[in-house]
Amino acid sequence: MSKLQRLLIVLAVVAVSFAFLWPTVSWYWLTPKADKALAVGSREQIREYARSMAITDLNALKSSAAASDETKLDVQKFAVDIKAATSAYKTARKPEPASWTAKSALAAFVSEKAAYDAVESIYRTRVLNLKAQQKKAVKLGLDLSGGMSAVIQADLDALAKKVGHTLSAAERADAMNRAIESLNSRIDKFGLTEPTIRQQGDDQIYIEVPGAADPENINSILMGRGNLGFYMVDDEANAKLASYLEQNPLGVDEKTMTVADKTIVPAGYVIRKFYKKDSYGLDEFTGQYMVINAVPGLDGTHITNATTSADPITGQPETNFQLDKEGGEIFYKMTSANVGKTMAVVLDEKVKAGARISEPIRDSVRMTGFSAEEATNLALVLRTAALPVELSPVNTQAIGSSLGEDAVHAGIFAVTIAFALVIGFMLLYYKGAGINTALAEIVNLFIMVGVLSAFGLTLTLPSIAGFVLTIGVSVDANVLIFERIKEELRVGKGRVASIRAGFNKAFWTIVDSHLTNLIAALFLAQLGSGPIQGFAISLAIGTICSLFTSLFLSHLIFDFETDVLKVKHVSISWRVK
Amino acid sequence: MTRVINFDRSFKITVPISVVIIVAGLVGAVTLGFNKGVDFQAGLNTSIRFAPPSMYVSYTGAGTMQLKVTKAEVDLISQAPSGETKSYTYAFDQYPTLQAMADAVKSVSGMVVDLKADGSTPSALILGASQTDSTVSATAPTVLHYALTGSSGLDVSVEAIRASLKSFGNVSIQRAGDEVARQYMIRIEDSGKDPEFSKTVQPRLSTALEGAFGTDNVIVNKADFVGARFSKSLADQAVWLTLLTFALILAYCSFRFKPVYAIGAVLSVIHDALVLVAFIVFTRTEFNTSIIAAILTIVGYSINDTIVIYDRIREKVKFAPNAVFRENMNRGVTETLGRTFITSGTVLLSAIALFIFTTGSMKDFSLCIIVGVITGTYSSVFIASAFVDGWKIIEDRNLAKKQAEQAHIAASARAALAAANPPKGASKRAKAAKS
Repeated sequence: MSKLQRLLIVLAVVAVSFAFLWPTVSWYWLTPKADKALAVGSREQIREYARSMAITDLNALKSSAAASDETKLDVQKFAVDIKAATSAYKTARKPEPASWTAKSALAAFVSEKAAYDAVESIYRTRVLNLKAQQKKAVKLGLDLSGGMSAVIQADLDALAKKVGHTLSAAERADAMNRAIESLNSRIDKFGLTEPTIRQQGDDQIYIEVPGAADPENINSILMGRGNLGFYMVDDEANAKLASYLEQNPLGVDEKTMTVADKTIVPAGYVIRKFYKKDSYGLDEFTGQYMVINAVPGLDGTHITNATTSADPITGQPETNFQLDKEGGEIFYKMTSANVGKTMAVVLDEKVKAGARISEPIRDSVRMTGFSAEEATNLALVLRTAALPVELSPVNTQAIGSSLGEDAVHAGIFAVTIAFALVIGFMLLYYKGAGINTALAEIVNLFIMVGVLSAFGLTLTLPSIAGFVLTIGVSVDANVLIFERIKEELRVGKGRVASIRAGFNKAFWTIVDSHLTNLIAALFLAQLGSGPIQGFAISLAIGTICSLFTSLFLSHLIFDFETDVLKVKHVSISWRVK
Repeated sequence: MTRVINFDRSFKITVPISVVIIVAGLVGAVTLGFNKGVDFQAGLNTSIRFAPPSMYVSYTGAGTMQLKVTKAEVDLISQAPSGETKSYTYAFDQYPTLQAMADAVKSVSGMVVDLKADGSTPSALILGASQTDSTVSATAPTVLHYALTGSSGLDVSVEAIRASLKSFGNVSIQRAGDEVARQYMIRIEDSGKDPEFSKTVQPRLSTALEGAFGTDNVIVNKADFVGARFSKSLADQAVWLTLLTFALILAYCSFRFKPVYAIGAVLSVIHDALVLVAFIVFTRTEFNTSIIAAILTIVGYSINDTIVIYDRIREKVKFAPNAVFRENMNRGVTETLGRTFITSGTVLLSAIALFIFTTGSMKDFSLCIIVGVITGTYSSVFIASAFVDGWKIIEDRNLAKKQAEQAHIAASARAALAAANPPKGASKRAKAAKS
């Protein structure tokens, strides 16, 4: 390979690493705090933000236009609206107005709905892009960012005892889904950051909430039982609320779930939000509110089972559930009194489904009018009440954010000092060749963080330790090569021959030692939970990077010095000339 | 060429020393047991700091308000009901006293600040409101604590904490850092008798401490709960993985070198792991996941070092196949000595940097790495190479014996034929090889 080709390869690797690293740099250093706070929220919160912003903006524009205000718009405040209007004018192939006023901005859109959609989408896309960037950036582990995590054990043995037979694989999977579902509906009450929740192994669930670190929160998530109930909906008030919200889109106070106009919600009724599942399986607010009775018509504990099926004639998906005898009686009374009205299924204050009661029903209930997926989700919600799964924490962790900040500082300091010490030593001992090490190490660190970024790995304190150690260990390859070159020089070989022989002789030694080291690191990476894994992965990445930089990059630097800088001797030791 | 150092001469001293250390370590591990850390002992491990409140902050405005305290500043991020977000940053440099900081925070509309400490206290002493949700509420104010710099103000001692936690059974309390910081590690053992332990212990602990030291004087910086099941599976996993790693290294080295070398390499790695275990047992270092990580790291490092030396010995053997192994070994080790010192030196430099600049379990981790690098370097020569040397000696001796036997058979055959005096030379040679 020619030097140019090799240089191109090195540059390509560095460029790719930089590309991977860019989201990290931009997220941690270039994103304003206010934007970060928005982007770490859940998708629901982001949607809510975009909706509110769009409505506020458009209301301001509308009232300004209605008052025939001809002043120019504040370019900063209405930047998003002007952008939306500009693109609307462009698609309509109309010329842009000479000056942006409320009227000319609104005139860009065919309808108010179109204006809302365009503005909302710009707001939403901007934050979602930030969120995507955050996802691509190197994540900080809980020990660095602060927050809480828990491994939760689902007691499937107790469940098996309850149902009276050992659980099949499908039943176990369903039980885990129910457990996750019941946690899901409670966990996002805590904090403003998006939680992580996933199944771990066969019967455990992992939860992580970055930022907010109150260990008592975990317990309140676990202690609270999934509270499922059937509530009657006040259809009349519902319609009133909907028309009120059309006038006052931000009319519902999220904290108290009330509206300013007290005539809308009758006494004994409350407002609840209607949720659907998003594509990630998380609850997502539909934007719709429901006025429901404050007291459940029937408590979910009466459910004995819930399944899905398809209507034999129409093929329409439906959710079926059975009630116990007492529940059947209550349900019959409730449905006979409310034929033609809407009933809501509510889990932990979230409306999960609404259905019209067509006739009085006793203990075997059929609900229709959903998509297949919705029907499955609803059955799952109903089963959380029928067959609750006992949950207990196996391991919880809560770390204050200030502690995390201290750790980040200590870690960065340790890396810097280790780096300076090692490089300083190499420059002193190997003179000119030390520069190769310095360059190789810098590129090494750069690639390592790039790879970490590319695989979306989490940076923890142990993984910082891994980096520090890798700095030390990866110098080994350089030392091996340099010592070999020195030997060749001692027997009187020239620069080119010594360097070539040095690299050739050291090659297999380096490959052997790195590969065995890699074996150890990869095995370490398999060792279950977080901290060790982070450490092992950075060690493994570091080992591979060090192979590349020592055998490839360092050789290239030597050749560059020989051919381009016309260096005749090797500056590698104080004794060997 | 530099003088060859005869390493094999010291084997007779070093091998017994290693064996003594390892046996002592194993005996210690059985009799004293490990100082089991959080990960291996069911219970709650907390890091608590005692600090008085500097101010109470609440937010009565519309929308939400988040508050974050970093090393350099207090950050406020508001989100209006319209969705609009704004951030406010108040650096400790610019608002050097609590009074100035309180006034600054108060200037944000909707923020209510109740200053609790002397207004002239430096604002840089404010600690993060670490344990609470970052959202500032209207009803339950966020407490911003501040670090005390003298011994007066808040009386805390290990004894006082112990007294307040009497009802918790087995509790261990340790001071972390200097006395003025008032920071403590408190561990409460889960005896397994209370099935609700994991759920109730944390609030009970907070209540007990707040009862004894004042409601808003306690900051829980860290709280880890580990269940019995978790620790058991972790220990099992660690042992299995270590064994598997050994097996893989054995396989790889047998493939790249000869099986004798592979056994030597694995022995040296086991040696390092066991010496580390001895170190951990006798220094009473807390045994937790990072210590397992340290042991496995050293396994990786030691094998790396061993292979480099083996490689050189193999080269020497190829160069002079007829020489006694011992000579080739001495020459190989001597030639790589420079490299050995420099490499372990640089790794030590990094490990020492880690040791100095980290705290807690990472500090223990780096100390184990320091010890491990030293034993790892030592074992490459004095265990791995010594084993191959020993093997070669036995091999040579067996060869000599065999030759002697063959010579003997030949001789006895000859003797039978001659039925006269047996030749003396063969038996003499066999004797010489034995000694």
